[in-house]
Amino acid sequence: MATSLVFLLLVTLTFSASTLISAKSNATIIESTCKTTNYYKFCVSALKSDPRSPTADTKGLAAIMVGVGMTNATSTATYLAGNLSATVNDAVLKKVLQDCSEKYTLAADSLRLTIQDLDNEAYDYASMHVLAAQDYPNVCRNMFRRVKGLAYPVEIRRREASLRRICGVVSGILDRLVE
Amino acid sequence: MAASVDPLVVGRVIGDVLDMFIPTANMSVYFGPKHITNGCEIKPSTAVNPPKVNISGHSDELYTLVMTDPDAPSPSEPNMREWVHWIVVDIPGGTNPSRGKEILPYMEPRPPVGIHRYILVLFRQNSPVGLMVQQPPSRANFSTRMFAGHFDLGLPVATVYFNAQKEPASRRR
Repeated sequence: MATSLVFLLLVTLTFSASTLISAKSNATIIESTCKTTNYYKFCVSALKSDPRSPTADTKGLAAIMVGVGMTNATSTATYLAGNLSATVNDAVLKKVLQDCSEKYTLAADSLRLTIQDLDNEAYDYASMHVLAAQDYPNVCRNMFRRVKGLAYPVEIRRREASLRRICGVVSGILDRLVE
Repeated sequence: MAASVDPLVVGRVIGDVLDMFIPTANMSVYFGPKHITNGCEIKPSTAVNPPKVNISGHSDELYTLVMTDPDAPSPSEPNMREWVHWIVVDIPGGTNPSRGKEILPYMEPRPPVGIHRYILVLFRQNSPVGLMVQQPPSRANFSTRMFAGHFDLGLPVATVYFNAQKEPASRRR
């Protein structure tokens, strides 16, 4: 009984030790990949919280990050179309919100194309598609700016900054892949 | 006349983006202290902010400035030609783009692969354009020729282009 317990303990310890070792070596890939971006801490925390990252290579990490961006862009498009523009009575603001929602949908589409580019290892295309995704939220902000007296909502500003940061990380990782 | 547009022909700016034209205006472009002459090399890190552009002409004339990259995403496979970086309209003659209406905000050159040409094209407008021009839906697959045709801008009155490529990693951080 005691020996089998000891045996079980040894097996458990060995298993967790080897998991720790392989997890640690891939943590190094995540860290070195994120070092090439301008948002190291954000990059590391976003990647580490994804279950696929321990076994991903640099290209895989880029894809994970693009996925994070797609989630952000799609949820922002939904937020703008569904929640916000439906509750607004001002016709001008409603139109701006609907147009903005469209832009964030286009950003998500661009990021979807980026995943395809990554699959095809067409990193130059991927770079341009990420640039486009990063640019669409600017268009939304400018639409607010063009209307006199219309304030740019804080929540949209926060989401815009978030998407820009995510795209910045992807661009950084792509730079490394192209080299 | 041909001699003054030769670099643009040699650089295939005329052909890939523009049709043959006779320059009738002056445009000076500076990134910081660096004066842009056709085909000069610019580091993307020095072009993060829009260049200083001064144009000739009378204050009652209005001009449009377009900055475009025909070599996106790479010069060997420019399937996204052109990638438009900046559009400013209704610039009064003798002034600069800050006095015009920025239709599309400046986006810095970020050439992912290869050496890209970045072309600044100046048009003289026949009438104010500001309210009619919408931001293009996407920066990719822009056509300067079609844009000029759509807003009746005619042929360019001045053009200058520079080259840029990605800087080595050690410089960018």
